Amino acid sequence: MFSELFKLCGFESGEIKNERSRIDEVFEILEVGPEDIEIAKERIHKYFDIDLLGIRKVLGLWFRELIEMVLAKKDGKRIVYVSYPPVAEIAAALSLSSENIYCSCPDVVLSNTLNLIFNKINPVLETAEKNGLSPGIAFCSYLQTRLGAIVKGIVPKPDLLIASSYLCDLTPAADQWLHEMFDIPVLYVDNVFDVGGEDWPQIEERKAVYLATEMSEAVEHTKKLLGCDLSENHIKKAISLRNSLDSALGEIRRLGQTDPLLLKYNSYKIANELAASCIGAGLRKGEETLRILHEELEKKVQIGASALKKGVPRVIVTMLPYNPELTDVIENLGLAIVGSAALALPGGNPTPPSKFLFRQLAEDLMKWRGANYSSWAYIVHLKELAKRLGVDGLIFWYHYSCRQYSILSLKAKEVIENELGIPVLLLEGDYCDSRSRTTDQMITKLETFAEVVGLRGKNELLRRC
Amino acid sequence: MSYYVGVDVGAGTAKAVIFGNNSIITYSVRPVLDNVAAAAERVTLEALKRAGLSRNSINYVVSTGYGRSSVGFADKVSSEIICHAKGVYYLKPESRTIIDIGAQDSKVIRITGSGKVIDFAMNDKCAAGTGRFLEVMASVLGITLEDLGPLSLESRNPCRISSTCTVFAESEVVILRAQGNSVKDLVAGIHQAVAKRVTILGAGIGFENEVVLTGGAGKNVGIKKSLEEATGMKISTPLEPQITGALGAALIAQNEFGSMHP
Repeated sequence: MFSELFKLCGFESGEIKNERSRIDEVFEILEVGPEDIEIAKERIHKYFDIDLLGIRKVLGLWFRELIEMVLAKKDGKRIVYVSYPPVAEIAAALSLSSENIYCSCPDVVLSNTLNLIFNKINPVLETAEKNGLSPGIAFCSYLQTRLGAIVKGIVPKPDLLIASSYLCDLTPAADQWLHEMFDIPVLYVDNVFDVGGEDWPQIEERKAVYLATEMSEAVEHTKKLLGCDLSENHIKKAISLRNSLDSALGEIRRLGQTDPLLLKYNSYKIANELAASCIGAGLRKGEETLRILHEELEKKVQIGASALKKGVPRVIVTMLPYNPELTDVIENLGLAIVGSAALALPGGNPTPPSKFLFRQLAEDLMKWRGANYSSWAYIVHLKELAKRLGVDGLIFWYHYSCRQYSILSLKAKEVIENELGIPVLLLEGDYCDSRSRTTDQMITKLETFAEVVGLRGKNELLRRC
Repeated sequence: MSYYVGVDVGAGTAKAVIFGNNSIITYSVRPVLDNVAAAAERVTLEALKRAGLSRNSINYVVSTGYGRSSVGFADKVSSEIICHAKGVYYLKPESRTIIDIGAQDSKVIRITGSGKVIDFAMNDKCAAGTGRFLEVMASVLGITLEDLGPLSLESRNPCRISSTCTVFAESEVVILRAQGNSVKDLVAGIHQAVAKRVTILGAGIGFENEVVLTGGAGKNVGIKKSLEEATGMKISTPLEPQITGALGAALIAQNEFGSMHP
């Protein structure tokens, strides 16, 4: 039933044969039937660059992440779930510390598979709504996905939750609720998310020390709770693995900014999220997969092939929901998405190695894109990114009930339009929930924005000539 | 002579404008009812009849509005924001800000001295601040949409009504009425709520003189007065505020045809 889908996602015939019973089991738990598989195939064909083996294999890695996560308990693992954005290195170090520990960020894995590929997340969201997480009161669909999936039993209950609050203060609240419901222990990695950020990427010492201490304490508590041997060496190895992954992705990002664009943004996004958030199969096999993709893109450059037309206006997006149709609409309107806010600043200096490991982790996290440091730092990051990539516009998409992004969006628009003179479109929506999509209104806004951006691009070209 | 048609199929009404010889030949406005494609057909045929023209005499058709993709006879579609900007600029070249309040959405559009859109804001799902909000309130009060404007001008003590949610506002109006408030004070409060909502919507992009009010709400003198109070600016309305989107579409049609047949 699923062989064709998995072949489409870069699995070899032998692998499919070996994994058959596990895939059957996972699809039964997820209630994925023949119709869903047809939908998945159709969406993959329509929205991703499947002419590239690298992209097919990236999709395949997401499936591997899904299978590992759903069957982790059955595989006899002790399970740790981290929240988004994760303290990725610590999570990866946990996975590396013992074969008996499985660590993942279920919101991200389910959003990239059950939602993005199968378009089948609403029952999970409805389960969360029936169990305490109503939509529209700051509990976004990411948090609903996490709680709904655990309550519904499509992902196993974890032995430990590690909640970060340096970006979103509702994440720990959602994990606290999971603790109340199922008595799952929770560790909180807090941060001083407050005023400041004008000098970002300079990091205030008090913030770095505080976050480093929080991380260090979380690791100590994790060791006690799980009885595992999580050492600094594991963390260093995790940093090294993640750096390799990031370096492979960096090459793709570089090629991802060419004119004309080589990849559709949907393809770029799944590769980017794999590098940013994966802890299991993505971490182990991600680098190899991204290298395959890189080679293919280099070949595309040589033969002059592209995914979009040359010379179209270029924009960046803050983020986009798990709705490939919307991304498609943007590109079909003639806008090239050359990157997202998740991009590190091109040419930015990496944090110099510190003898204090957690201090280094804390600084890296806060330097990544500003959003983990303060609202103002995020605006500074967006402004610098737009400037350095020389884009014609910025689409600031945000979740309608996200307290951080919905509030700072207006300020970001004002600052970027005034200082860079490029138009900024504010678009609100929901990360995952297809029930609350207002596609027509979004299309009206995007069509107008495309015209405004296109006009600016033409004027800019004339001015330069 | 060349003729161009702009068809604006909104959530409440369909509008068609026939343009030729650099002027509006005629126009028609009809309710959408249950079938968007049929509404577009109906309103266009009516306009053609008024102009004494046949389909064959039309050179180019551009559709806009929510139902723009359902207009099978259109040669091109365009967003209603762009069309409103073009239509208003044609009628009032001195305008720099357009407030458009239609049946299902409201927009604030900023345009340049050459009529190009530079920024805009538009509501999302929420019906507060839209024509639908006014329809619901008129229905609760048992009056027609046409009664709202003149009634509100008689008010001396407008009621304070929520500007954030149609459902909440409906309950508020029912309670305020039960408390003995007059219909004219309630209607004036409703207009202030719409004006407040639209002013908040446009706050991010700003209001610059001249400000023009279009859409069905442009026919409501009470809304215009409340918007002037809320923005502190003089607001004008075109003679027929509902057709600016269709007019803009017709102007785009003329341009398109012109660029294909230089």
